[in-house]
Amino acid sequence: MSYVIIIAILGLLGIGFYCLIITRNLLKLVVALQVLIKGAMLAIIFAGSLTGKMETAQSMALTIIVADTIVAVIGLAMSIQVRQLTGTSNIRSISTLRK
Amino acid sequence: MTLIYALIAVALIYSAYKATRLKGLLNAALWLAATSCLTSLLLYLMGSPGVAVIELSVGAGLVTVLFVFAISIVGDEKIESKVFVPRIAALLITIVSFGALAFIWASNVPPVFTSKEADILANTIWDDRKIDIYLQAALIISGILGIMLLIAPAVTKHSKKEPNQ
Repeated sequence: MSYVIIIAILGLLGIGFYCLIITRNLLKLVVALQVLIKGAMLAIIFAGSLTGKMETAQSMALTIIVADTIVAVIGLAMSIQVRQLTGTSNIRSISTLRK
Repeated sequence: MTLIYALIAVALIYSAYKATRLKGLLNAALWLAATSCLTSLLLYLMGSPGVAVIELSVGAGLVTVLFVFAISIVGDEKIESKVFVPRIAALLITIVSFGALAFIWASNVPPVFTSKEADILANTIWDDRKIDIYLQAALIISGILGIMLLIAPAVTKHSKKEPNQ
């Protein structure tokens, strides 16, 4: 059973990491971050259940959920503003905002 | 029981793959919601129902609504520019880094996993991790500011000059 959960965690982390490298759309970047964070959260709960410190792991997972939501909100807000200012959601357009 | 875990794990990886690789942004948001649902199911089975409920309501509910709202403003767009890292290189980096992690994990055989109930979660949250609670409150306030930024129209040079004219 442990191996199944480890495979799920590694799968989520791998897919999120790959998409983070490859994507150019700002909204897709937020999706990749969400997938990555879900993998990290599962890993923390799994570690807590293995070491017997479940309450610490759960409280950390709650912090992760809060931080994850804030990251999504700020990322989406930024992508909307970038789109309205530059006319595109391409990540490269962020570097042209100063011009 | 292992079969249920395996089925959920396969569905989780498949939905995460679809969320990141699909062309349409709306479809990606819906697959992300499915990923969140399956994550919360796995969390529940691993013995943390409190975290599972919050993940389900926030991850599958609030974040999906925010995504759909943002997509309705931004719209779907096909980006033609070149990628920073070639796809093959990105795939190799991912396989090497996470393959190494899997190898380290597999070489030390993990202890047998048993789902346990947390008994004193409230004490841990309110006594041991008091500073984190303040940090979370600050994060939630920054999230509210983020939503205000999400709703507010973009500030451009023209819109700044308009009140003076």
